[in-house]
Amino acid sequence: METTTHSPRVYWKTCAALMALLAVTWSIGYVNLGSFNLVVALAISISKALLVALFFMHMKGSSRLLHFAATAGVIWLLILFSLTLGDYFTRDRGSSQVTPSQIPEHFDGER
Amino acid sequence: MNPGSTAATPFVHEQFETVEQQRSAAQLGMWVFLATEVLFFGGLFLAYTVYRSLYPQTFATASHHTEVILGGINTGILLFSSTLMALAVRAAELRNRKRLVWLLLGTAFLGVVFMAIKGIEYHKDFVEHLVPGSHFVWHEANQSHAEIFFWLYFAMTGLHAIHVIVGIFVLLTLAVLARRGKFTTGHHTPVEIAGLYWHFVDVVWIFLFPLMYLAGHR
Repeated sequence: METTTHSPRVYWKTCAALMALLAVTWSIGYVNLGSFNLVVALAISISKALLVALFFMHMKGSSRLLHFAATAGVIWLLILFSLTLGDYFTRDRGSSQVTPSQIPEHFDGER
Repeated sequence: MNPGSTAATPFVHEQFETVEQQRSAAQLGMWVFLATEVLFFGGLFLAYTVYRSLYPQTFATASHHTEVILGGINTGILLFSSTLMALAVRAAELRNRKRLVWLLLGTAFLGVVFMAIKGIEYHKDFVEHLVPGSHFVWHEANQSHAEIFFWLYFAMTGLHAIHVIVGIFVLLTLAVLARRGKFTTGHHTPVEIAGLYWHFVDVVWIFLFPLMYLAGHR
């Protein structure tokens, strides 16, 4: 019989890999890597998400249409993040250099 | 109902030509729904990113007040439940009714265990006055920033918990129908797309665990 699912071996191997990555995330959480803690944690989370999507959710071997729908979600998420963070991370740029003389005389509101 | 085509394939709805076409339509629908879910959770993840970048120290301190051991165990439970779910889809495809029912029940059971542990955690947080609002008590610096962390903690884990609860009911319903042999006669699409949902909920938690429990090293 032709199947679209994988053999149980594949699922148990995926499970083992996920558990191993969980153990790594958990132990890295007790080591001080500075800002790399977040980078490593996110890299591991993305790897785990990929394992789940590829094997459990059968992205591996799915039609292009499904790849397209799944990728669209991620791309829109990236747009959401890049536009909003682009604003937040550049919002106060230069504001500290504003001297009183640069404020228009008729300006009477709060900045 | 179209009596002409129902004799051979009783589970193909009239707008579809074949089982395969019906199956790919259902899969596409689920993936599009999951894309909207990515953005639903995405807004909260974005809020988390903005506030953590503004108050990294307080987020690290506040994160230490979460129950990392319970959170870690719960991560393992969800990963294992996803494995059972994947095996359930295979059992349905291989028309193994008994195994399908047990795997669906097993997956739902692990979901219940997850919620029970989450409940213990929420209770601890409540007793320790970590719930934002007038009862919030914070003995370290920057109380209002810590409150933002816990607001996000409850909003994000809470929204995730609602998804788990919905998933448990879906799985139990499927288990009842599977027992009646609904998915082991060549039509297992409902099991398959419920599986996609369950795996998605797992993926959300995969990101929540390090962000909530391990923000800044312990």
